[in-house]
Amino acid sequence: MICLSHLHKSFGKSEVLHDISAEFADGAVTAILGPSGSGKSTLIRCINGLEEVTEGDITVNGLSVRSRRRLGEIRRQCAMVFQQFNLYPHLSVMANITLSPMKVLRRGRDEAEAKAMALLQQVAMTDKASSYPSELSGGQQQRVAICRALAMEPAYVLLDEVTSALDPEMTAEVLDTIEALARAGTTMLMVTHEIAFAQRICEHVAFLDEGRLVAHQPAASFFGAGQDERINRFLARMAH
Amino acid sequence: MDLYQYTQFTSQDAWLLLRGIGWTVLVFAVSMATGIALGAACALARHARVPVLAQLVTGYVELFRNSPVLVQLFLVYYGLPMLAGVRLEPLTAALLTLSVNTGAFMTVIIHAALDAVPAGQWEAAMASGLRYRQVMRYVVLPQAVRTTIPPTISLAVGQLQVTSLVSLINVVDLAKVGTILNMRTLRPFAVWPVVGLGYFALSKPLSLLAQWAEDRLRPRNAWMRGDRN
Amino acid sequence: MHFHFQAVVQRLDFLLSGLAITFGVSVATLVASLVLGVGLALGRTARARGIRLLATAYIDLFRNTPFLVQLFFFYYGLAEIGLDIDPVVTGIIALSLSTATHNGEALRAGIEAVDGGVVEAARSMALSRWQTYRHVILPIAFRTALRPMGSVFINMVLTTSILSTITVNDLMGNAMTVAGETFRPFEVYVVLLLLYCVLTFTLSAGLNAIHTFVLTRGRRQVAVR
Repeated sequence: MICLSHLHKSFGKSEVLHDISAEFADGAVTAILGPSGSGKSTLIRCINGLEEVTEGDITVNGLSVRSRRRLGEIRRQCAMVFQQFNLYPHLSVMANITLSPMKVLRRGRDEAEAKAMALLQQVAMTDKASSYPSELSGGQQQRVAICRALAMEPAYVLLDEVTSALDPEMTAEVLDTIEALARAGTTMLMVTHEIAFAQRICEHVAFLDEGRLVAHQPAASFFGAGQDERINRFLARMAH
Repeated sequence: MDLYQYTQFTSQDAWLLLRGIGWTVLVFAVSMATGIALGAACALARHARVPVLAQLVTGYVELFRNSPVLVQLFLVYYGLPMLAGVRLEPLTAALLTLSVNTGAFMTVIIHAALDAVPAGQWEAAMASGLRYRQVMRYVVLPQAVRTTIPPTISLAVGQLQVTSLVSLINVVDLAKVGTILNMRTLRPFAVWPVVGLGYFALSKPLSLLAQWAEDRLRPRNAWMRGDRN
Repeated sequence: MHFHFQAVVQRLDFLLSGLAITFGVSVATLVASLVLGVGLALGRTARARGIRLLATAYIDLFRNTPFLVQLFFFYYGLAEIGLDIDPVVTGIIALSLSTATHNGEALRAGIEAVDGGVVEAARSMALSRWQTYRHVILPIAFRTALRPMGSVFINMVLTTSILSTITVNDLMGNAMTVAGETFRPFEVYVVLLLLYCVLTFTLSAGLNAIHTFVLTRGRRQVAVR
């Protein structure tokens, strides 16, 4: 379980996240929605320690992000997929996926590569194992990034607007991959603008507006009518 | 004067050091100025693709950029007199060599700056009826000059250090004074740090200027702005 | 005006024997200055302010003073404190300490050019700071810095000529000897000038080949980003 407790985050003088408390249970897919600048990305970046929490706390399975020593352990349990893919440009696809399992989890090369191939098979990219990121399209790179994250066998997968940098065609192939993960029961926190997709596969929705957690409820009720004005406006805008 | 006194430092030596600095500054300033002028002329010849001249310039540039300055100095100081039958003063040889050497590097810098001006500028200017010389004068050169400033100042810092080599052809610059004092007093731990300090005092302001120029005069062309985020 | 290149050609083998020392010094300096350069680059990008200042001061000192002065300092200084070191070794020490600053700066630029997002990804994948440097940051930085470091190497090879002033019998040193023997300095130094040019061009071609090979990882496609 990931627990946020009275979380505040400021960059210098401007407060980006204000008094956020929430619990994300295991086994569920939660969409984190909200207008641009509402702090969605900052929120999940606080969870795996890429951003430092100003006040309050986040615990991942009981481990606090405020403790520097525990951060490595937390990052082992939370894997992140980025909007800009951020694959290691100097390593092949295979090496990208096996680096952390080999160096952090101390798996052997054969074991790590076998696992990598299995993951690549799930995204139908086994033929690209010795290719380099610069030789792949955006959609392919993102799918490799997802494999890289899964190779760590994380308890949680954090997705930070993973399709925002892709054109519609590639977006579809990545969304398919994510949907398969969701069906397999992976716990995911997904910051996204793909409302229709969120509606289809997410069980919960957390809605942020100007750094505040306005709503945190099951998807069914979120997408139903009679919500907070801000939510209605947001959904109406996104529908175009 | 007994031997003990002769090998000690005297107040004369401070004066000697100062004069050495003076000659160093002179050699540096003159060779930089001449080198820049020479480089500009050669870069223009290359850029305008003047037949024969452009090729000669390329030959000259490659020759002087890809060989040690020391060899160039010895060639001019020891070699030329033999060729032309005239005696060359150390200072003259030094200024001649370093000017030509600096010119080679400046040619590359200026030529690169000219090439960096977007082709669109040429096209627009020529389309409006201006001839090559006018385009250069009113449109291209003003833009190119800005680009040459940071690398030129950086080159200057390097060339300042290079002037120390003229001490090896008997020019009494700061390094030569150091050699003289070192030989006389046999106190290298006193002499060379002081000489180093002298060069540092001259060079550091120039380095700071180079840093400032690098930061301030970054290319402002729209198409280059992208890499600033 | 008569040219007597014969005299030089006769002593060509002696002249070229100096190349052995030039190469030896260059290779030794390359290795030492690379190791030191990595240290300097890491020092310049360190989190501790004290280390950063130290590295910056070192680079500042060596970049704003002439190599000749540095060389004389070591040559006469080491003799003064009683150490009897071969001038070649002294030369390598002085040249390495100086060249390290150039390599260090090139590497620092390479490190600073690494995509921040890629570093975040590595840290997110639970790699430690050291692991991130070793497996992600430094390899990428080296690739970026390869071309500038190649330039540094070639400049260093040319600078080895200055070692002749402390009685090292490299290419330049031997040329000075031949000039003294034959009384034909013009011919000797013209040939020397051309020899160094040939050396530079050969090294440049070699470095270009290495650069291309490393960047395309031995494959035909060039990896551009």
